[in-house]
Amino acid sequence: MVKRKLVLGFLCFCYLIFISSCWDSRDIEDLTIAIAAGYDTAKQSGSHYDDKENKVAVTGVFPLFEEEVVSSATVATNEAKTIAATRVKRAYKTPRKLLLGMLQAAVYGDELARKGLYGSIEILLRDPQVKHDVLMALAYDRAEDVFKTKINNYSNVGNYVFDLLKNSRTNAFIPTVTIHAFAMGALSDCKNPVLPIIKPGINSIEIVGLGIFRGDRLIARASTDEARIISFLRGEEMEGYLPFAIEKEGKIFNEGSVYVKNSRKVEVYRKGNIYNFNITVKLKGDVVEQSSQRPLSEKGEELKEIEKSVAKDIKMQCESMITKIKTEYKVDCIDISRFAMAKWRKELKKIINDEDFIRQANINVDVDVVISRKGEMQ
Amino acid sequence: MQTGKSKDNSTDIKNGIRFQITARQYLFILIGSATGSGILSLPRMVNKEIGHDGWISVFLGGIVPVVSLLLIAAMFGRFPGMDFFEIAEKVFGKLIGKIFLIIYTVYIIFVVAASLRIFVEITGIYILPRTPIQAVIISFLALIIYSIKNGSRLVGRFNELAFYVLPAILLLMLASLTTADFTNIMPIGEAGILKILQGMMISAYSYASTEQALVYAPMVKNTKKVLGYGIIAMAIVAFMYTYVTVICTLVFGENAIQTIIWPPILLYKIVTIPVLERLDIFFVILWITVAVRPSINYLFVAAYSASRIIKIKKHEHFAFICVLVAVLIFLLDIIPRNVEQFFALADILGYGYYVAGIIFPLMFIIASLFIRNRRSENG
Amino acid sequence: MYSITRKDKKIKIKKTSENIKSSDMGSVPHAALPRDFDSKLSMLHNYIKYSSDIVVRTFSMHITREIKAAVIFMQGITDIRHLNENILKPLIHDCRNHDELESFENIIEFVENKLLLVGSVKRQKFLDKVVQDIFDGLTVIFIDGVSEVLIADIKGGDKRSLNEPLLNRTICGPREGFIENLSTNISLIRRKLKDPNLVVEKFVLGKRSRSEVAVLYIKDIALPEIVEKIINKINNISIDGLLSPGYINQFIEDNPFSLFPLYREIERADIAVAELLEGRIVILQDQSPLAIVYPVLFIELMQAAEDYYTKPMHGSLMRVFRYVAFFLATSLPALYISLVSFRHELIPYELIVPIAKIRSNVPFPAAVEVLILEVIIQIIFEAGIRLPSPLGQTIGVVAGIILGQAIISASLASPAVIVIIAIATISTFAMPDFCISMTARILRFIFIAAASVFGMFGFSMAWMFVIVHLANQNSMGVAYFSPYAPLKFVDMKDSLTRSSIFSFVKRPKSIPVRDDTRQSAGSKNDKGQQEINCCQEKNSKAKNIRNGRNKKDEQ
Repeated sequence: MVKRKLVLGFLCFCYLIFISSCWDSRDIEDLTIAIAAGYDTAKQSGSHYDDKENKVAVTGVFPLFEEEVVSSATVATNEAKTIAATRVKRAYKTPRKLLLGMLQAAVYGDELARKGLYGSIEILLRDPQVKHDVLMALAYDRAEDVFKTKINNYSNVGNYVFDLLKNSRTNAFIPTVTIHAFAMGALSDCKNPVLPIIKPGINSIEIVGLGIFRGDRLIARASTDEARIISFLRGEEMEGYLPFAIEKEGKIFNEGSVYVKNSRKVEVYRKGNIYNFNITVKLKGDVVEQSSQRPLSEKGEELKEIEKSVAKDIKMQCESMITKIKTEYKVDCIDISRFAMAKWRKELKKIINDEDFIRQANINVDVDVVISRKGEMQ
Repeated sequence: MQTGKSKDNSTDIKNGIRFQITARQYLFILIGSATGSGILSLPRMVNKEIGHDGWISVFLGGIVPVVSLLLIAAMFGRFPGMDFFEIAEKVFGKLIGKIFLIIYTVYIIFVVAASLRIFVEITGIYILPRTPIQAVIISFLALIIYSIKNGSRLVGRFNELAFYVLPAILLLMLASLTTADFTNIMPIGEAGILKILQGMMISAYSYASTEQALVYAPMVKNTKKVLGYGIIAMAIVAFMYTYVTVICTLVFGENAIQTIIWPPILLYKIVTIPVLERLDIFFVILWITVAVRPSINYLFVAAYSASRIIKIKKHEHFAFICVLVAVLIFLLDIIPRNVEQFFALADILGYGYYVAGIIFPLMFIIASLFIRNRRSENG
Repeated sequence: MYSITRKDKKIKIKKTSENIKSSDMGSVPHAALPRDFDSKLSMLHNYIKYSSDIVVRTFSMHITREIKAAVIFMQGITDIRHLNENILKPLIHDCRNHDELESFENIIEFVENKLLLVGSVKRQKFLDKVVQDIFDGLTVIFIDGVSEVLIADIKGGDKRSLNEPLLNRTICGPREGFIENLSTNISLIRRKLKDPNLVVEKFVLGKRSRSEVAVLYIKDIALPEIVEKIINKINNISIDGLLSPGYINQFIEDNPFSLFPLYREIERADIAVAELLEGRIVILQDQSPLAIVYPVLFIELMQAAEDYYTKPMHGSLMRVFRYVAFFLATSLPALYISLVSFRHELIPYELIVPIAKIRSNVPFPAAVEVLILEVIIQIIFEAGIRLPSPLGQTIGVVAGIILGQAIISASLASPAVIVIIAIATISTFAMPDFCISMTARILRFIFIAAASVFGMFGFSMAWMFVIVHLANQNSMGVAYFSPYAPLKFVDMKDSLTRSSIFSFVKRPKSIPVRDDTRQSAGSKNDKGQQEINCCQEKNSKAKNIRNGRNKKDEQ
């Protein structure tokens, strides 16, 4: 009995010691929570103690909890030689410790992206607390400007950016890219990622296009229309509205829109040294509006017309995009080389990233549109 | 092997009722010891050696422990009624037999030290970054001592219970398949037979739990089922390992996976689920159940063999030995400087598995043939 | 009264009469009573003179001659009506009609056989036994000239009427609970279990309190080793006063230091009968409405009798909720602490700003806040028990909530914590067994302690400790945490959910019994189905005949 009491007493004593000064506990209101971060190259040159020039500027969005404060988030930019060193700079000004684990969105500046993004992403991948589906985007110019936009009708700019990026997949035909997807794309031999580009507007932030990467370097920017086609070809599953226009006898007979979900199928075969890719882009959806006052009949012939029109339209755009990819971008941004790797991995390992591979490959596109519903009206 | 050990001397560590386990508990003990840190670094290791076909060699690697189990069953079959410690002394004589046993015990102690340290490291990275490792190790060891001091019956029961955490954890990994790319694993079989066989030898390290069967198998009451259940256990482990390796390869691909230390843990951080948002909350809660089982099983084996070597009979003294062994392991864990040395140690211990799991029983069987021959010559 | 002799089984039992030696009675000598009336009376008077509620009623009987006799009884315990009508009336009045007494030596026999209209009568010779019996509440009848006396059991007195028990409440079950009278309790069980194999063994425990303890089991179901174990342990109890079966528990329990109750306390006869049918042993004590059941499994502490009386689906759902409640009751505050103080990134994103906002008003760290509220709620709970009416608990919790509101306004705690503590407290009351809700409260504190030091890791470690502890317990040698460990799939059908009654063919494997067939094979669904088929056939035949007749009519 005495032994048991001693053991219990010892445990209580230990507990009392631990509860007062335990190592890991941090109450949540004592922390600064970063929900979004922007990374740029530094504008100014070095500070007083490291004489090399500053390389990065990190902007963080920190929502506020005190009820007396009016604005709902602070945005602060700090510059230092490496990303982590900016935390020290920030610590000079912020009264609380940083919690990085709640990061939701990360935006990278244009200049930084052209130099290569992997080094900047690495800190987020290495931190065990940061989740790997942080959404990524490119800023048109500087990420700092994106976060310094004043948004009146939203809780804070970090939430705005995060929701914008999260919903672009289902609203706008722009893929949602997580850090994980980007890292996998950058690290794998045969894949190249893409990133949406956002730009500050008046009282808003807009998506203006898609960034094309070779490995982790930005090489080109595509407009939103091109972005849509590239995403179709990439097979990123998205949803959105597409317009259609049916002409008969030179006049526009029926215009309207369809709401589609896209997917794709890729087949690859080779003849000799030429690799042939057959991409089938499948669009499946409903008719949302049409201008001709004819009802769409039960038998579905008008639907077929709409389908054909949409298919023809998209196919044209796809083919011109592919030409552009072969001539201008010269990189596989439509994610088809991995199918070739799936069949001939050893042979292709060395040459898959060459520009010649994409230039010489024979890429055919086919578009298959299926329209199943037409809403409430005939 | 004889059945029906007496139930009366319940404080006797050799035959007491607290040191008997059922065949099903034996199965779960084997599974529990294997799926420890082996499962975490396995995908990376096989992808490094063999590329994306690593999963085939992981699957085939299951043959090695089955061979080991067969040898152990054969060994016990030649000496019915005796357990490992008695066989060692009988076959090789007291002195050499004791030396073998001491080698075995030291090997097990190092296995515990290495795996415990690695677990503590994982805990330190993902769960408690700033807590010093001594505190974490002490709490682990306290739990382990509490579990083993009452004999293998409790170890068996605990393994039976805790097994069901594994399917839960594995099912949750399916959520990450939304980001999987099926071309990562193709073409299948490209690496060629030779490389796959090479990989088999490497992946066999991760199945290292059958050397414990030398100690646990004699404790099973129903001796007919021991071999069958052991093989079933290894089949389940092989299936789980293959499953994890396949999913990791699918999601990450053979290049990227080499930049990640423990791919299966990362699978939880890739996707978001509706209510709880982050899947790794389950990992954090359930992790310790997965991590503590191999340590419990191995530490029990270490303490038990130590007590049998020193010829301890009573249960109370066994508990004391448990504490001593735990203290020894604690010291082993905090003395080295960083965890890299333990990774290196773990690689060496992979070879130790071959020695203890395959060579030892083989040696015993061969030596027993000599003894029989000698006896038939003499008498 | 005393322990029965067990001739048929070789069990070492110390006869309880040996426990009570003469020295125990405060030096009442083990001497024979004298024959003379006055000396008997004065001898006994020495011992009863300090108790003014023991009454001596002298009278004289007329059997061939006037014989002095006396009755000693204890007021309040003895049923006066019985005393008057069945002892005094025949002895004083009716004995005049009996003249068959041959010799004076047989008078005791004569009185016992022909005059006393009492069901339970014994003879006694020794002084210490007689004094014992007087203080046990029995009635002593002694006659001048004979050294033997007669002891009659006409205990009556006030006792509570049968009403709904406080502990095991139910909606769709019987309302009779045990009361403080042992024979009534045993009779309640007998009414529900008319098996002649039901064994009732009685013991007297406690040197001064001399409480009657009854051990019940079904002879051909319960395992003899377990019965032997329990009876040996009961016989080894030596204490001066046994006020409640709880005392017995602490003496015979396998591990009194375990957190979890290794027994089950019940207050209802139908639960007791269900336990007996499963091969358990029920211990009842006089003057206590609680019955104790050994051995017990952990899963049974989560079962309520109602589960079995209703549909399997209903029972299963409720049982699942009870497990959820157990988990919430023990772990919810600890989870809160580990999320808010340690792993913040695991909090869902939308909650993090509101939580931080709420917490920024509170000056204490989360662990301290939770502890303060926990302590307050426990005090309110205790106070609620002392409140007189049965609604005391509810009032206590409600008061806690109002108090909680005030605490929020004073910024000593946040609303989230109040909600969490309230949910946890209410979940503790969802347990059907009272002991396990006490365990849940203790566990809650342990988990809060573990979580506040080590966060989620500490929480998991504490759960591991608890599970290992559970797996280690044995209740009378039976593994406590079975069917989870050691795993018995057969018994899982009654653990988390309750499967249909047709599957209860055998008794649970976790508790070793002699005869494990509950239902015979034929009583499964097939038989019922066959009957229904027959009925359907009959009906269809009838239908055909009717139709045929109609058709004939049409034709």
